Order: sequence, then structure tokens, then C-alpha cells
Amino acid sequence: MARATEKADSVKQYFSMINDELSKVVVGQTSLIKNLYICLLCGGHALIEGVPGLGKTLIVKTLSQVLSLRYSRIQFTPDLMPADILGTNIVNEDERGNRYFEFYKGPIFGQIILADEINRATPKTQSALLEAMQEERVTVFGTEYPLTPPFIVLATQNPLEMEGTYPLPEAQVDRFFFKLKVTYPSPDQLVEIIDKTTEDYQPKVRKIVDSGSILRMKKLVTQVPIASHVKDYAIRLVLASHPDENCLIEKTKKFVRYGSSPRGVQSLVRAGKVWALLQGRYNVSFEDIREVAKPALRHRIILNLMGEAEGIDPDDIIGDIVKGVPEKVHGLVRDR
Amino acid sequence: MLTVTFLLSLILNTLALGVQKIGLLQWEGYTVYPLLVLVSFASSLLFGLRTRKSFMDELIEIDVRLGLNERLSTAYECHQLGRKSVFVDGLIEDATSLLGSIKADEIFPRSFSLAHLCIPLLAVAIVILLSIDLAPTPTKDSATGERLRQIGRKMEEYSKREIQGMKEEAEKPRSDVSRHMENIAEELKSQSMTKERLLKSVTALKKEVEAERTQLAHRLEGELGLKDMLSTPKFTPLQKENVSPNDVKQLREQLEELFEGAVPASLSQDISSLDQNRRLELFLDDIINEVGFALEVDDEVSFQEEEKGVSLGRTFGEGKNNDKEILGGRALAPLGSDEVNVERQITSVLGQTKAASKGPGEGDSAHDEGFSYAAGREKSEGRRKPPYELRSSKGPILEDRGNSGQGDWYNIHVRSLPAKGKAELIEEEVVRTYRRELEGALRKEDIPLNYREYIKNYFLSIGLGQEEDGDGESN
Repeated sequence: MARATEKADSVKQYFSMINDELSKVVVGQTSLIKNLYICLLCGGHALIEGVPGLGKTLIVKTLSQVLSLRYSRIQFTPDLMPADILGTNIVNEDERGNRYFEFYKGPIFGQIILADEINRATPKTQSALLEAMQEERVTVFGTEYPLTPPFIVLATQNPLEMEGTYPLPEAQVDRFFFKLKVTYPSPDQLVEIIDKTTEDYQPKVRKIVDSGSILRMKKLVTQVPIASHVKDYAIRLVLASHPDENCLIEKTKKFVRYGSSPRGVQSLVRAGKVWALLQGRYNVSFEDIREVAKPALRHRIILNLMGEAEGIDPDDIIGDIVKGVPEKVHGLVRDR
Repeated sequence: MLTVTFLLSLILNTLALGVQKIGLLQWEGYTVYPLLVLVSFASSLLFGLRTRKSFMDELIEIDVRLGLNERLSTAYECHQLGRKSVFVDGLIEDATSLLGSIKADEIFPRSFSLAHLCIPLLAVAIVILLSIDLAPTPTKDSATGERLRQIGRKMEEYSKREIQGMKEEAEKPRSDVSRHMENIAEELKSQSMTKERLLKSVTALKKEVEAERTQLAHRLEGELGLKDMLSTPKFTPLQKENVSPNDVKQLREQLEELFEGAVPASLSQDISSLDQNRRLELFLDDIINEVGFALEVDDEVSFQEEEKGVSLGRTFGEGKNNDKEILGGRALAPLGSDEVNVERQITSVLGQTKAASKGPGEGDSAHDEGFSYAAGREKSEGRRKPPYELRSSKGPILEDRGNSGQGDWYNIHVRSLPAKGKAELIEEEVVRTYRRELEGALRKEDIPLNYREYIKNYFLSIGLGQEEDGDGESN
């Protein structure tokens, strides 16, 4: 019992330490860092969206330093090929002059992958990440190569420069655990950014967590109990994102083409568990589900033509869903 | 929830008691109040059970109300379901400590609602209702009640008997006449009755009705005499032999005035019967008129033929009473006394009909110009009509089955023409068919090519010109 609580507390402590280390380099963005930590402990991948210059790449790069994981950066360009990511067979020659094929591992064989500007590569190259993200392995020339856990893909994309980009296919977007938005810094934070970047400031970032600790925490997170009515609430939230006849949310009916996939519920519950541990609790509450609803569902809600035309933000729809879906109803959703 | 259930029970009980107190729940001297109380308790219990919350629901409510982040409910569920997790023990321990730290008032807070206010009010209302009695005092003397019931039964039996008697009285005179009329109708349907027989039967029926009417008038006058109604100055004596609808109406008005609207049932029944008989008589008169007229028309046809010297297969009684029989429009077989009466009736009927169709000052002759008899079955309107203008002209073949006379005889079959505008084939279709046949014939025949057009034009010119125009350039 005492050991379990210690482990639970360690999750919180590790986050605090990571946040402190990142704060040496990154100004603000606490929420983003917290959500990246949740992704790490849930074994999920994150799609980070923000305008240029907000520090997306810097955050990911610094995180990789703090986490003591093998870091790979792939700059996605239109001429990038799948083999450039996955690796390829090359002809090699041994000491006796015999030639043979040897697999040359691509950058995907890291542990923390920064897929920078992922929407600049062609869909063919983008889809090279699919197997790696879902199954943590790659198949090249019929041979499967497992990836080293913990494996996390942190992809960035710029929402403004859409020319010459290839929007990610829905199947790939759905594989991202969270979609995180990098917000513009406040004036105070801008001052701090200026101070840190225009002066002779070269902070040293310590390695806080190793792979083993992350894997242990991942296992611990799965142990967090969640009550039936909280699961039911998460399910009702996801169902409310579907514009069907039973939907009570007006915005969903009006602006949504497709609602969240079942991966949305999985994300809600798993992220809710980490969120609960970060709050010092051993159970998932309604509030935990609500806290992670936006990053978990925003990229899973596909707007219809009217929604696109009116520039509806999926976060608004999720906000309405969270407000409109009651915490407790008579009986569970599966009994109805 | 307990409060609501209790309140519902009190409301239903109060209602039941109130209704019982004003005497609405009495049935055969017994009250159904206990049953209603039982129903109210049962329904309240049912409502309570149906809407009751489980312990888990209560815990969730407490979690939400106190902002405990579902710690109590999750711990309870883990404990109940025996979930294995490194956190379960810590969760239960945490929930226990939480419950220990929360005051009982916070877990189940006291709240005052309208329901709480209603409970004592309803309780007071029940006590008040129990102490007062709003219902009328029920009859205690069972003997009096029994006697009243007996009187009621007697009255009911008497009224039933009277009504039955009145019904029998009312149906009796009509039954014979109705039966006769039904028999006649049956025979007419099966076409087994001749017009002569029909006339006889209807005349006999009319006599029956007349006799009945006279009898009724006598009886009515007798009844009125017994009641000394004739002594009243306003009362006028009834014309028994020739009661008209006006007489009956007048009599009814006088009686109603005399009895101030409450005419005795027997008198009212007799007057109604009298009225019915009179209407039946009028109806039978109409029938006799129609039958007589049909006979007259048939005879007119034969009369015209006779004038042309054609001897039809019809005998007019060897020259006896020829005028009368021709007037009757039909050769009649030798008749007995009844038949003579019928004959007289026909004559009189026809006389009336003709007189009606003639102008003033004109004679009473069947051959007058103003009284024409057209072929077919329709009554004349004073002018001769072509056959297609006659109504019901499409009828069965009529065959004169009269007795043959001395001279030559012929059987004449007359079939009326179809009514105008009832053609079944479209004229254009007929013309089109003819044209097709014509063209077919032209094609078949070995006609020189140069002549074909001439021949075709010839045929078209003799009757198909318009059709040709209508079709335009179809050829």
C-alpha cells in the first residue's frame, strides 16, 4: 500500500522535475508540457500545432534531453521518401569480399521522434509512420524490426502555411493520442523569452528520467481505478460528438461530419488516469475526463462543410459537449 | 425520496377520505374507502420503489455535492466488485478517512422543501375530514327501503306491461296490411302477378285500410265521448267515413289544447294509427293510379292498331261494354262483383287522370287531341315523342298475350330503341375502321396505280371527308 502510493507520488514528482528542467529553456507552455508528459506515460503520440516561432521544436528537443531517450529528428519535406524514415537495405562487403544486404536503420529507430512539419511530406511518406506509431515496429522488405520502448512520435505542423502541404490522412491523425496547441506567450513570458535568448544564457539541462522509469510509470498508470459511472461519462462525451439523431448538442448536429472514434474514449480514460495521478489521487473523476477532453478529442472531430466554412473550432464543440452532457444519468449508457 | 413517497401517500389518502365523506364512494350501502386507502398506499409504495436510489447513486451524489472527485463511489465499486489494483487499498483507506472527516449533516444535509410543509397540512386535513360528516344521512330503516324498492319494481312492471300493450296495439292493424303488401311485392319481384291482379289486390288492400280507418275513427270518437269531450264547445265531431289528414291534424291540435299537451297515450296512439291509415290509403291510391294508367296506355296502343283494321290478339268481351273497357285501357276477363268494383275504380282513376291533363271545358273522351298516348312506357305530356325520348325505352320484349278474335291475328314484337347518347362505340373509331378496311381492300385489289388515288378519294368523298380533315396529313 505504502509502496503504491509512493509510486503514484513519484509520477507527480517526476513531472515536477521535468517541468522545472524544461522551464530553464522553455518559457511558459506548462499545459503543453503536462500534456506531453501524459502522452509519454500513456504510450501515445502527440501532434503539436502552432504558428512558427512558438518553440515547438525547442520543447520537443529539450524534452528528449530531459528524458534521456534516444532522440531523432526528421524534417519532413515534399521529396522525403519512406525509406528515408524507415531505413533501407544497403549492399555491404565482408572481409573476404562477399557482398550482402544489410539493413540501415532510419531515424524512426529512435525513442523520441520529432517529425517536424509533418504535413509537408507526401501522404506516402506520412503513412510510413503508421505502423511504427500503432504497433511500435516497422516492416522493411518483409522483415519486421521492433522499435525500442518507450517510443513516442511528436509531430509538429504549422496551421497557417497550407500551400505545398499535405493534410494528414484521418487514419493517421486518429493515431495521435493528443493534439496539442501551442499558444502565444503572454507579454511577461515574451520578456522572459527575450531575456533568455538575447543574453548570454546557456542553461544546462539534466536528464531526469530514464527509459526504465518511464516504462514502470506507464504500467502504474494502467492500475489507476476508474468507476463505472465515470467510464459511462467518457463514453457519453464521445457519443455526443456524433451528429446522430440522439445527439443533444446543437453544434455537433450542425457542424460535425464525423465524431470521435473509439480511440477517443481510450485516450480520455488513459489520459484521465495520468491526470488523476498528477492531482495526487488514485481514481479517475469526472473532472479528470473533462480536463483531457479537448486534447484527446479535438483532432478526432471532423467538421462538415458548414463547420469548415464558418471556421468552427472543434474546441468550441467539445466545450459545448462537456457542458451539455450530464455527469450522471439514470442507469449506465450500456444498459440503455 | 422517502418524503415524496410519504407525501404522495398522504395526498391520495386525503383525496380518498374526502371523496368518501361527500358520499361518492357509496356502493349498495357499502363504502369503498378502505379499498381506496389500500390502493393509495400501494401506489405510493410502487412509486417509492420505482424511483428509489441505490447506495451507489447516493455515493455518487455525495461525491458530486461535496466535490470528492468520485473517491467514495470508486472506492465502493472497487470494494464491491473486488477489483485488483495497487491503488484499491489506498483508495478505500482514503474513502474511509474521508467519510470519517465529513460530518453527517454534510453527507445527508437537512433541507426544507414544500413537501415538508405539505405533510403536516395534509395530516391536519385528514384529521378534520375524519371528524366531520358531509354525506347525506343514509336511510337507516331497512323496512322502508324495502317497501320503496317494491313500489319501484311494481311501477317498472306496470310501465313495461303498458308499453308492451301499446306496442302490440300499434303493430296489430299494420301487420295484416304489411303482410299483404309484402306478398304483393314478392309477386311483383318474381313477375308472377299481372297488372289486373295487382290492381285487384291493391284495391282490396285499400278497402281493408278504409275499413280499419273507419273502425279507428269510431273507436276514437267513442273514447272521446266517454271522456265527455264532445260537450266541450271547441271540439268538432270527427268525419268517420271520410277522415282527411286535416281532420286528424285538427283533432290532434284540439286534444293537445284540451289536455294542455299531455294527450293520453291511448288517444294519441289511435290518432297516430288513423293518420297512418290515411297516409297508407293515399299511397295505395297512387299505386292504383299508376297501375290503371299503365293499363290505359297498353290499351291505347291496341286501340290505335284496331283503328287501322289490324286485329290484335285481344278480345273486348264480344262487343259488350266496349267503351268502358277501352276507357279502362285493357280487355278484362269476366269479373265477379269484386272485379266490377275494381273496374269502376279504374274508370274513376282514369277519369281523374285525364281530367287533370285536359284543359278546362274539354270533353272526357279518350280520343281527345289534348290527351295523347305515346308508345313506350312513359306518361304523356300532351305531345307525341319519338321513341328515343321516352324514358326506360330500353325494355324487355313485350308480347301481347290477349285472346285471339275472329279475324286474322298477328304476333307483334316491339323492341324499343336504345336511349339517345348511349352508344358504346366511338363514331371516329367506326370511321377509322372503315377507312382501314377500305385501304386494305384497295391494296388487295388489282387496281392500276393511277386509279388508286381516284378510288380512294371517291370513298372518302362519300362520307369520310371530315374524318380525313380531322386526321390532317395522316395519309
